[in-house]
Amino acid sequence: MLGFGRTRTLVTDLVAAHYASLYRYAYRLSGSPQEAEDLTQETFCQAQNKLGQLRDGERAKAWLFSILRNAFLHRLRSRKQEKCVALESVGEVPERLPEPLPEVDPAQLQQALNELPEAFRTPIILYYFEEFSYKDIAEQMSVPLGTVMSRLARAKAFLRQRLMQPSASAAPGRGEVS
Amino acid sequence: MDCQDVRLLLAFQRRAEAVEAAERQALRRHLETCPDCAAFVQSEEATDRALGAALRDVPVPPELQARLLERLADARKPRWRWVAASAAAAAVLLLTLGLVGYSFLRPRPVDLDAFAYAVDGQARNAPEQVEQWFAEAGLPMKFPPNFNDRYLLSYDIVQFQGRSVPKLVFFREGDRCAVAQVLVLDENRFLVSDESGRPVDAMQPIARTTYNVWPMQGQDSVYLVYYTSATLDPFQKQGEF
Repeated sequence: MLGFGRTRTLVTDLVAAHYASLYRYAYRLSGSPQEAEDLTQETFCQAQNKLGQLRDGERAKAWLFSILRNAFLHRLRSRKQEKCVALESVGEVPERLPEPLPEVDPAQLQQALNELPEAFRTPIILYYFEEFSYKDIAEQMSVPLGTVMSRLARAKAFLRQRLMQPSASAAPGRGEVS
Repeated sequence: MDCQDVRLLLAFQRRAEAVEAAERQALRRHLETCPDCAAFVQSEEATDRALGAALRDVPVPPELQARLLERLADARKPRWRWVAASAAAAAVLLLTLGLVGYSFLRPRPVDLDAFAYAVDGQARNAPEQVEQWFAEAGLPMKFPPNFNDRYLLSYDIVQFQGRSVPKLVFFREGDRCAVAQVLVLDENRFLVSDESGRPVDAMQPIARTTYNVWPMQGQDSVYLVYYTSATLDPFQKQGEF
């Protein structure tokens, strides 16, 4: 059991090192600055209570991201329905050379992310935060590596499709989580 | 390796971990000879750069770190209050246990009046009162038949061969005073027979030097009576001493 002073030091170090990336991740997951802050706070509180579980300091970031994702999923389950698009029609690989992506509108990007089911949203966010390998993402989500790659490909294709549309156009039809 | 395979691999080509060495060689050879796939690589890399930069471009609230640390410090505080409260509760519990233990272990002054009252309160009680007392104690029984309640001295619950049973004590005063102690044994819990296996209702008194024993058949029970007089007549309703 960690002493009070050591707990405070460890937690302070964890916050300093990871609060910004955790907040960004939480923001991209939830689409809301307030919820992002709540999720980040909840993550560090849980981490403070479970510091004994963290044996390898180099795994701290993956550990924190895992806590945050679980906290987000917990909130998601308590909501009645996650309104997301179905991705069956989105292919993994473009049939022809895709056009260059225009300058990305931040609001349009978040809107597109919000439309993604969480199972696709999480890997695409973790992937572009760069520090996470396919293996890290697979471990975070408890899915096979192949599933991670497939979901990444579909999510990327969907985002490209949405971001190619003018930002004032209607969103694709909404359906159940795929 | 055809273009479809290449594009699937190239979708995340910068992640070398997902592409094995042999495949990477095949990829490189294909890209050197296929301008379409080479253009595809450039397009994917551009998309990755754009998406990556956009996804990472999230303004972080300026005071977020300070707020997080403050709330975490607050979250640590109740722990101490919890520890203090637990310590206080433990101290109260120990004190209570100590006081209770002391009250059990210390020598108690004997209240002779209370004892006399309790014993006297039982003497000569009516059979119905005795039966009610045992019923309330969880050992329903029937008052020994034909025993005169005028000679009832006391009654209690005792341990007999590992089980709790009712016990009544009858006393005849006089020049040749006598005592009869009656244990009421439930037939469902005790099997009473003599050495040759004769049932209770056929058994006769067993004489001993200082007392006699007589198992008497009752209704659903056996009355094990040991008495100091020659017979049980002194304790019977019509008995004379």
